[in-house]
Amino acid sequence: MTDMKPKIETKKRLSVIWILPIVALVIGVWMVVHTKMSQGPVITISFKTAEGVVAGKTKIRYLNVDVGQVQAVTLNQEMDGVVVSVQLDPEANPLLKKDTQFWVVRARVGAGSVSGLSTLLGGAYIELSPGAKEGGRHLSFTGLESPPLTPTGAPGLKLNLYSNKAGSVSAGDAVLYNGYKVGRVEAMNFDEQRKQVHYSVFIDAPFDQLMNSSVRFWNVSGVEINASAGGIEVLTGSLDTVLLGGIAFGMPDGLEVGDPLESGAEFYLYATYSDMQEQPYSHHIDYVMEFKESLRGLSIGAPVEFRGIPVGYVKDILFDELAMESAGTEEGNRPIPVLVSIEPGRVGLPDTMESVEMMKANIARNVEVGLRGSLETGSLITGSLFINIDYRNDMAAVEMGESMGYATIPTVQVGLDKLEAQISSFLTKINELPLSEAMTSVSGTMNTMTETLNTIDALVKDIHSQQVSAELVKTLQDTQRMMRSVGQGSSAYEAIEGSMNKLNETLYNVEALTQTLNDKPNALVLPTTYPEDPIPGANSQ
Amino acid sequence: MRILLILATTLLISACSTQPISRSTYLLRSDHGLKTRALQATSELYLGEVMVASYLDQPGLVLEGVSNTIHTAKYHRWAEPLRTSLRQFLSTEISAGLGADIAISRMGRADLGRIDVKIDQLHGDMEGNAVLVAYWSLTQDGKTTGHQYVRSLPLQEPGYEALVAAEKRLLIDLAQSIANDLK
Repeated sequence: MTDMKPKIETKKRLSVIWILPIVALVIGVWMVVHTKMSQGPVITISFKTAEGVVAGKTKIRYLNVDVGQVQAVTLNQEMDGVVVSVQLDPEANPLLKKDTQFWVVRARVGAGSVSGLSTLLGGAYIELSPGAKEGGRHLSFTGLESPPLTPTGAPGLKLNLYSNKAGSVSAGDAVLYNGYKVGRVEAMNFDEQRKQVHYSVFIDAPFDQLMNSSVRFWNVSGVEINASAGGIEVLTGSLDTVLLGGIAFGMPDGLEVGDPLESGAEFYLYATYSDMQEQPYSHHIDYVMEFKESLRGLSIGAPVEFRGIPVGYVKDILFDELAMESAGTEEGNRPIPVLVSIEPGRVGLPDTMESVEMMKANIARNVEVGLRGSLETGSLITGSLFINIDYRNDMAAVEMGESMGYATIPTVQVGLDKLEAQISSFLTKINELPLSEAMTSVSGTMNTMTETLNTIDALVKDIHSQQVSAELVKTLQDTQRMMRSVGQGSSAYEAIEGSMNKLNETLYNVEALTQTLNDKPNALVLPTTYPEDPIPGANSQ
Repeated sequence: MRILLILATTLLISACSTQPISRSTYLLRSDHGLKTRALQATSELYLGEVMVASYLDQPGLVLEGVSNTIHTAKYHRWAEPLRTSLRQFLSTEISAGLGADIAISRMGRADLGRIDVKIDQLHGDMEGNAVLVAYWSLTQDGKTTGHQYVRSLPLQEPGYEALVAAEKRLLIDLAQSIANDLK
């Protein structure tokens, strides 16, 4: 009998029925991976406000090409700003550097420009400016509140300017060289440490090659008018700087080209071109000179000269500091300290710290051999004084002292003392004269002269006496006529008087103009209005 | 951008425009002798110096306030410097008072008597008075005699026109006083 036992064997092949789910799974995985691969990175950007930014709508753009979209807008942990989550396209990956910048483009109306008008219809978007620094991909950024004035990595030179007073210069204003725009003011803020206004300035390449340590910056906002004996000089920048403000730079007259600059160099921003020309040097040494005589006529800014050559100027008269120091003491007759600033650049030395050190050493050495300061009269008409530094004879050797925290240059009194010395010297010379011999000689000469005159007198009486007398009378008559022709009531006198009256009238008008300009310095440009005059007699009614 | 700049400039310039300022200018002239005639010095006198105090030597009319303060008017001015117009004015008025024309210069004659006048105060005050303080002297034959004139006059009505009229009346009175002393 045939063994009819059924043969049972396990089927090893996967059932055909599983093919469909597996294919579905593979497709699903592929779709997930593909989606992830095609999505690009998600980054976060912090802003102070989310004005105009809408989740799911606001685009991220680079060169006007959409490279992503805002996914979510949430408040930050401190609740003082917003965090915008952005889904970028994968091709935006190379743009994400450490210094990549983002800002919201929306309609802005400024003093000098109107931008982002297209966003009024299309809505705001976030602009991306790729960074230049290497160092891996970054996914978290701090957004800018306003568009950057200079693109990241733009070639040029970044400088820092400081001024004591905030003028009409603000971020975005032009920086001019000979009237041509070569850069711009990037930012303006107040430096609390320096107590000065700080301007961050960018000079575009290739104009950064114009920069060196000798250039000076000044404010060209508005119109500068200088009236002097030479006439009226009007200085302006371009029209937009006159209206909106701006900065110009250049080399002061007589200053040589300085050293090349590196990014971050610091400069002082002068208020006007004239200010810059008056005090163009940035390196100086301050000294104190103490004077016992009256300082009437010595003003701040008065020149300090060495044998007629200007080497500096009077920076301050430290009378307040002296009073503070002397308060409560019995030192009532202390000399008044005057702070002077000596500038090496004025004597042809480079305007550098090395020159300052060299001059400091020279002055210290020369004080020992008689270099002294003195107050001298600059103008007999105005009584203005200046400080003269020169070598004095017979000076005891002294070393430089210190006063009010500054090194001091010793001083000497001139004027009356000088006059006394001159009179003494003159009297000494008179004493040395051989007067008795001279008198004997003069006596002899006088006798001879008397004899000669007697002879001439006799001669005159003897010859042509009548004719000479007639000539003399005629000369006297001519002289009298001439005196009448220029005397009071004469035409010449009337002409002179007329000219004097005309001069008086001119001075009268000049006085009126001066008074108007004193009351309102911009009266030459803008109309002058004064408060109405009080009415005489109005109080009695 | 350009249109906006032009608009901004136009706005700025239009903002600078103002209403025209009303300014009054007063001429000091005598009302005597305004007829065509031959001028000839008939008096033995001539007007020498006419000086004005420094505070009057400017264009504006002057008002005295409290505590010796003065206000120089900006919108009410003399047409001529006082030192010029006063000389002409006083010469005419003194001549009218004397009944004979006095010369305005020595005319080459050493024998003419010389009148010198100094106006020390000529202003109005807030109470409605015009004040004139003057000194005058006569130098003749090597001798000099000095005189002082002080007088104030109430204004007819408030205002600068009335002040000018009052000051003019005071100056006429001064000239008459000089003429009376010279007669």
